[in-house]
Formats: sequence, C-alpha cells, structure tokens
Amino acid sequence: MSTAVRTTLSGIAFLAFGIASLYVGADLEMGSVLVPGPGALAKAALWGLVILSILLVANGRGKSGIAASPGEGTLPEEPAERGSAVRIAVTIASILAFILAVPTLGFLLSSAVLMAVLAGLGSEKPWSPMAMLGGLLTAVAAHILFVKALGVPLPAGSLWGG
Amino acid sequence: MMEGLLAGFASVLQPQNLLFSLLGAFIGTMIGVLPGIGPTAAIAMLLPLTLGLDPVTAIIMIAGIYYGTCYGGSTTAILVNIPGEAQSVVTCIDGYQMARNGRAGVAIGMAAIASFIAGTLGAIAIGLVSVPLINFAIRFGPPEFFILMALGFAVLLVLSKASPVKSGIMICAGLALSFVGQDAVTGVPRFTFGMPELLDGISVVTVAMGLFGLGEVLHNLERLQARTVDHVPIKNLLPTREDWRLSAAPILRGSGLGFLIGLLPGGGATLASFISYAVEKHVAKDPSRFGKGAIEGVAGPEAANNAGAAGAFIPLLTLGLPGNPVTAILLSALVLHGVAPGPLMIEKNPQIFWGVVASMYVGNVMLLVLNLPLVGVWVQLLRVPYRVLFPSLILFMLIGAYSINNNLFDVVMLLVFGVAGYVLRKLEFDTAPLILAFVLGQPIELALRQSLMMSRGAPEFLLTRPIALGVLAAIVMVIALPMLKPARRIIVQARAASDD
Repeated sequence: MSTAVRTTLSGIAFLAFGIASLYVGADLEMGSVLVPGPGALAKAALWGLVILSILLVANGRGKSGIAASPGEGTLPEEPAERGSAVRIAVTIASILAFILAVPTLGFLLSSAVLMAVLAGLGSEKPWSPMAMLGGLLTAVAAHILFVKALGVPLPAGSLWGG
Repeated sequence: MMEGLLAGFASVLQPQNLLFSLLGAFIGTMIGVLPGIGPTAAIAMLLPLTLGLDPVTAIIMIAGIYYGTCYGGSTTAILVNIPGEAQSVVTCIDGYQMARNGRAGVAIGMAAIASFIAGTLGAIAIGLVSVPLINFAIRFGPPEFFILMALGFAVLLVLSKASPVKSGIMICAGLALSFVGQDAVTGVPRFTFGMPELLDGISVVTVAMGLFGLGEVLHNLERLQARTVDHVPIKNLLPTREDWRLSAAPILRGSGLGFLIGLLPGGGATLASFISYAVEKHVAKDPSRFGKGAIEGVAGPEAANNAGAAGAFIPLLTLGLPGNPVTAILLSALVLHGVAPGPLMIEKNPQIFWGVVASMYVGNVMLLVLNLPLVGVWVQLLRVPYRVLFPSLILFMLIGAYSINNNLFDVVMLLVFGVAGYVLRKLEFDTAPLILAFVLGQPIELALRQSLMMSRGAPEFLLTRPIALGVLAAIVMVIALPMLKPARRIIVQARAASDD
C-alpha cells in the first residue's frame, strides 16, 4: 500500500473518529464565553480533529519518509519478515483471549497458556515444545515474583473460588 | 540552594535510596541495551513496581531507570551497530567505525565519560536554573499557564517528525482522549459510554505503556530474525591525550546544546544528539573524518543526549509541565506518589525536589561504575534473541497495567492503545504529541476556564498580563519561523537570478 493511500485512509479513520465522538458528545453543554461548559474544549478539540483529518485526506499524504518512532526519534527500518502479519494478529488475539480468561481461570493459568502460545509462536521452529515449556515457566516465575515476593494482588479466578 | 542540595544528597546517599538508585540504573541500562523498549515504555512498565516505595525512593529509582536507558543504548550502538534507543542512532555512525578500527574500548569509554560529564553539568545546571525560574513562575496565574501550554503545542507542531497536519491530529486526539471521564468542574461525565471504569478517565500509564511499549513490541514482531553479534575485542577503555584534546570541546558544546534543547517542549535526548552531531561536523576542521570513526562524533552526541535528558526535567520540576513523553510519564509517577510538580514543589516537597536533582548526579556515578566493568554482560544480553524476550515483555506489561487499579479494564485499554500505537507507527504518525496533549488536556482546560472567569468577559484583560503577552509573542514567533523559510528561499533564488 502506498504512503498516499495509507495517509488518505488514516485521514478517513480520524475523520470518522471525530464525527462519531462529536455525535456521542452532542449533549455536552458548551456554556458561555465567561463560563465554558464541559463540552466547550472537548468539542473544539474534536472539530480541530475533523478539520485536520479533512486536510489530510485532501492532501492525500503527510510528510512521508522514515516512520516515526514513538516519541523519541527514528530507528533504522528493515522490511517486515514474511508471515509477520499473522504473528502480530495471533499475538493480539492471544492477549484478548487472556483478558477474557482471567476472571474464570485466574492470572496464573491464563498467563501460563498465553506465555506458552507466545513462546511457541516466536520460536525458531514454530510451536517447539521446549520453547512453550520455557514460556510456561516464565509465567510461573512471574507469578512467584509478583504475587509471592512483591505482594501484587493478581486475580485467582472464579474457577478456583477466587 | 546549597542547603537544599546537601539535604538532597543526604537523602539520596541513605543506603536504601542508594540501593534503589543502583537498581534503577542497572535495570535502565539493561533495557537501554535491548532494542525496542525505550525509556518511556520502560518507566511506564516499571512504575507499578515503585508503588510500594516511599515517594523519594520511588522517584530516585525512576530517575535511575531514565538515565540508565539513556546510557545503555550507546554500548550496543558502538559494538554491534544496533542502537538500543533512538537517541543512540547517531552514536552508531562513528562509534561503530571506531570499533571496526580496533578502538571499541576507547569509544565505549569516551561515551561513558562524555555522558557522565554532561549528566553532572546538567544536574548542576538544574540546581542553578530551577530556583530563579521557580521564583519567577510563582507569579504565574491561570492565563500564563494556559498560554505556556499553548506554546508547548506550537513548538510540538514545529519540531515533530511528522507533518504539522499529522501532529495537529495527534494533539487534537490526545486532548479529546484526556476529556474522557468526569468533568472536574461540573462533575458531568464525558465520553464514558455509561462505563463506571471510565469515570476517572483513562490512565496515563496505560496509554503510554500501550503506545510506546506494547505498540513497539508488536512492531518488533515484524522482524524476529536473530541478531548476529560479532566478537569485538574490547581493549583499553581510557581515551588517549589526543582523544581528550579532540573531545573536550564537543563534550562541552554537546552539554550546553543538549541542556538547552532539553528545555524545549518536544525536545529531549534524541533531538539533542542529532543536532550535536550536525554541529560537530559543521565546526570540524576536517568534516570528512566524520562517518569514519571520528571520536568527536561519539563524544558530542553522547554528551548532548544526557544533558538533553537533564534539561527536560526543568519544565517538569519548576512548572509542572512535561515537555516530552518521558517527562509526561514522570509527571504521572510524581502524581501517583502524591507529589504535585510545579512552582510550589520546592516549598512543599523540598526533599523530593532536591532528592531528584541529587539522584541525577549519584545516578551518573552509578552508571559510570556500572557501564564500564559490565560491558561484557551487556554484550551477552544482546545475544538473547528477541523471540525469547518478547513474551516476558508482554507479560510484564499486562501485570503492570492490571496493578495500576487492580482492574482488567486497564489491561483492555493497554491492548487498545498497543494496537493503536502499532497502527499509528505504520501510518507514520508521531505519537509524542498525542501523549503530551493527553497529559496536558485537563490542566489546559482548567487554566482556560479560570482565565476566562478572571477576565470577566473582557479580552483586553490579557494586556494587563505582561508574562502572558511575552509567551504569546513567542507562540507567534514559533509559528512564523517556518513560514520565513520559503520566504528566505525566494530571496536567495531572486538574488541568484539577478546575478545571472
């Protein structure tokens, strides 16, 4: 996908986000110049977002070139490996599944499964049992460190009466 | 000032604080060595661990982590041409060439010494500049703070790596997100969708950890190929007399330049290192040496990035205004520990204010002690493949997000902002303006409301506020300067045409 197309699509996404947020916050009062209401600056920011998104779409492209590293500069970019999109999608889906599982299975079991999946996903030979065992042990070690040593209260899970 | 600084040192030099300073510097250097997780994500990830500590100890440890990450990246930049952090990118250019020329030890030694000198000068400068600035800032009212924050946004627009339109979008989105939750003045819920978890707003730590931590991990999953770490012999770490002669001026220039750049909103360590390299190349008698192992190309930028990190503390400690994502996280760390940074901090929490200043100096000593003897350990750490590391990093962030409020909702938010961070990076958006706008959203709204009430509806009210007017003039200048560039180009072209 070219930079111009990506920029246009991002402009459309932010435009949709701005319009949807303005719709959600339509009831917020603007107040007066002397006493601005809770909606005054919020709506101003959202209108700013809408106008700038339109500008971005109209331009078709922002300043292209090196991708911005979050916050603090740029690191040299290398092309993505083949199959990396699947790897990223599985990682995101696994974290989502972990969030859904925690209330029932508890943090220890859910994180053990998550770690085994992520370690298997990343291992040189995909789904290597040794790597998955390593992931599992990482979860146990983290549980000992955070729950036993540091006293962080992580959920035990309703299945175990937590 | 001396009294306060001595009290700060007395506090930092207590065994417990010294231990946590060392621990912070060690963890920071370790993270700095690893490519991928920068200081912002590192502090956001480790913040929950400091919740059980007393505020002074916690802030000292966080400062150690910050300095450690600034420091650690240079070792790998020199030895294997992989910058641990963005601010070490410049060090790769000449540092790696020095290593290839058999001078890896001297390059590492000079990077450590330059960082130490700059960090020390930076800590002294903070002590010197802060008190007069605080005495001045005490006179600030809501209009001054509002206009100062607006100046921050204007500078961000100009300095951001992305286009001004994209940066503007990030600022507006950050502001909009900051308004999620109960309105501080009227109590009206805004954009909460009836969810009680959103009434208190979205946690800054979760947003930062998502955008800068999880987003970065997802980005790194695009490339899991093992790094090849060649064996580079590290002999003498101490620079020669000639190295000192060449490096003394770049270190001093880098320290001064870095400190000043650190003061700017959107400035900080990375920008400082890039500008220092450009300056050194410009003033060098033989610029062709740069890129082939010139020691000035290591000394200047390394000094600048540490001084830049120190300078960025000034607006945070004196005005309570963060200028970059790292200080935005530090602000939330201070607030989490019940400390409100700003002009009154030195009066209300002198032990923390001077403790932070003293910890910078002590942290730099720790780093010098750590970095040189442990070079071998950091190189070994680099040999651990990312495929082994990333599951642990994700687990650490999940636990960190959960422990903020003992709530899974923050973990959901972490995932949302992690995906957003990854996508925004792919779309070439700079997320620094978003996090700054997110942190400053509530204060800027409150300052605006108070200013309007103070004005009683009369806009000429601003004319009676000389400081506010001065800052307003600065905003106009910041916005106008880039516009002058094309104008200059037109003049140059016109002159060239007339010469023809």
